[in-house]
Amino acid sequence: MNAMRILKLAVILGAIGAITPAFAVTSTNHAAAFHAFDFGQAADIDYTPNAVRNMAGSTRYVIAPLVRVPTTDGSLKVNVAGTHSGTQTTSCTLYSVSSTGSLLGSKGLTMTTSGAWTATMTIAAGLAPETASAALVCSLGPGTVTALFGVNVVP
Amino acid sequence: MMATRRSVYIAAALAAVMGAAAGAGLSSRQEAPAAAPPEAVRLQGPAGDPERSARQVALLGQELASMRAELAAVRSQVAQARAPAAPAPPEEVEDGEAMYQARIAAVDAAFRGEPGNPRWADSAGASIRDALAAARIDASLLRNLECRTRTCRIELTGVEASNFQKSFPMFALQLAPTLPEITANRVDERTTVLYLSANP
Repeated sequence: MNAMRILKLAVILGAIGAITPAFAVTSTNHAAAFHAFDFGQAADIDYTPNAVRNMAGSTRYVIAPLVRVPTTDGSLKVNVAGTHSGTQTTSCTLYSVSSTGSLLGSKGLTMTTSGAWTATMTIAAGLAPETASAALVCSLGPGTVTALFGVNVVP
Repeated sequence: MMATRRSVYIAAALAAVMGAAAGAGLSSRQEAPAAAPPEAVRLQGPAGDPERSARQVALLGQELASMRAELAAVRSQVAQARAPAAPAPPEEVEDGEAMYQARIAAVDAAFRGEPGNPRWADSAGASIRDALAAARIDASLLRNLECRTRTCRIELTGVEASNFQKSFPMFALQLAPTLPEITANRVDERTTVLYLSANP
């Protein structure tokens, strides 16, 4: 009986040890996670070791799936980073979609600035349950003047 | 990671003790003993030796006391990490659908509680119509549009799900500067209600 109790304790300790690090995890997504939002424009999207950019002469849109991480309050929070070669505008929208495909909520962002930028976007608790999937759609200005470095999903 | 590795070590040690006590010795897997700490190595011994088994149990007791202290510390860390800023009832945290419905109800109540601001409402309504056009969402699908102080409520009827999902990002991107926060309530297969809010 004692042996069984000891074995059970060992299993519990192992499980706790395996679970604990998840609370501090950030899901880091490189710019290569972005794809053309429209099928016919895939050839316009170009990648570098640190960014995704648009080679076309007009604005294009890209989408990236996001790997969810547990948050303490049930919200969905991401940090997105990019750069502008001059004063340009990049717009992004963060989406939460139910497991049955219904849109639950979204949060938009407009960055009009020069140089590198980062921004935080959050979808409130209740609109991003653990079972929901998430994606980020962003605009990319024409002619490589804007680029995205990536998006991190944070606890 | 360290906690996981230590737990594996202890589990390996426990397996060794149990095997020795039962007179069966260690299993045929040699990797775990080779990677185990000194305590685990010492636990290996001839099968059926009562004195050695007693020493092993004593060692195990010490290790258990240490692990219990560690478990208490880990539990404390987990509790701190899970503690929300505003505690919610556990049953709501576990029920995503209930949380979603509660959120929809709260957003709707907040919208209905907003006072009217005709100037803002006209401007926001025009932005929504422009965004629908830009996203090529048929204006005839818009059954209701009502804006107040910082939130608009629109009802889209006859929206085919796949078309709407494809068009919606363009609609939302158009509105990102003015109405960045959108809460969606798919009432049924053909009707979606959207609450679009300006930043606070």
